Amino acid sequence: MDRTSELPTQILHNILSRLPTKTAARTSVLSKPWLKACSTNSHLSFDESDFKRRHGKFVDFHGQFLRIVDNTLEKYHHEKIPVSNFKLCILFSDQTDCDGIVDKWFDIIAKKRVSQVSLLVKSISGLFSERYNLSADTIFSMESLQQLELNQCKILKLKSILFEDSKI
Amino acid sequence: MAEASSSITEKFFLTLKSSDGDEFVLEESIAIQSITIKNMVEDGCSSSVIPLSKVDTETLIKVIEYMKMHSSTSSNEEEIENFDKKFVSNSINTILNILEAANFLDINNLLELCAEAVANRIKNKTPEAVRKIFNITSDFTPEEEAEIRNETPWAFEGNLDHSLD
Repeated sequence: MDRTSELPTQILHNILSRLPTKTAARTSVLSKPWLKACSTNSHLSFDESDFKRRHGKFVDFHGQFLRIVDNTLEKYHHEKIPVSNFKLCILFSDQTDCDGIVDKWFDIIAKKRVSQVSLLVKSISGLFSERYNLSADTIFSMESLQQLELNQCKILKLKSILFEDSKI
Repeated sequence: MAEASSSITEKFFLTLKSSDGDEFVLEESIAIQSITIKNMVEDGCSSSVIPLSKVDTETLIKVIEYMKMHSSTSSNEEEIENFDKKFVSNSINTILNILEAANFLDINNLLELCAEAVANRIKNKTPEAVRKIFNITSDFTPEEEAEIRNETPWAFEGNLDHSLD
């Protein structure tokens, strides 16, 4: 008898939240309960190092990684699937290549009352001075946020932030 | 299973009843690591036997073992660490039973420990290996399975672990 398929979806979500991105996605072919758990998993975690190939070029796997995250988030957005935790470990080679797209993803999850967010950025060049630019607007728009973890990010103050507002 | 209360300080005891009808007497201070039991005690259900209809005897014995070791007064950190390591080496079916019991009883540490143990058995494995380890029978037709694989082809690329460890 298959015990895993009898488990409540909530427990399967807990297990999925501990798996690397690719392994978690592979569980969707195990059985129907696993497919259901995968497609409604509220703990989204994407780690680009899981996509690195020994002889692959950065631009190739990086592009693939961005597409996968983007497709998944678009699907969650259109099908109105909740997200409680969002973790993104992303590589970048210069300031321009994924600026904007991460802000777009953060806008999507901000609307989903997300409670925990991690953005762990790693520069390909290894230069310590390189920072990923994230707008303060994006962070403040996540109203249900309880825990925020950032690594190698610079928070940019943008036009509509009013520091005299007592609520901030 | 229970020891008679002979200590000077007053201790309260609870009786937990498994789905097989076996009764276990446990100190209240140990049993309330389960939020479900704690809520029952606070609602005044503790004077009678607490029936745990979703937990069988074998699983309940393991859960009680865990709660005794993790109750703050009796064990040091190293003992707990070694206990946890040994605990997750139980058979995968036992772990799944404990995981479901921990979810029902709302014992967060135990739930985390077992969920991590299950995840470790799945990590980097092929779906075929995972099916064998957990005795999962696919309820998809070959066409349905091919379609699901096609939706996330990237998930099946690279070096996957075929072993059943």
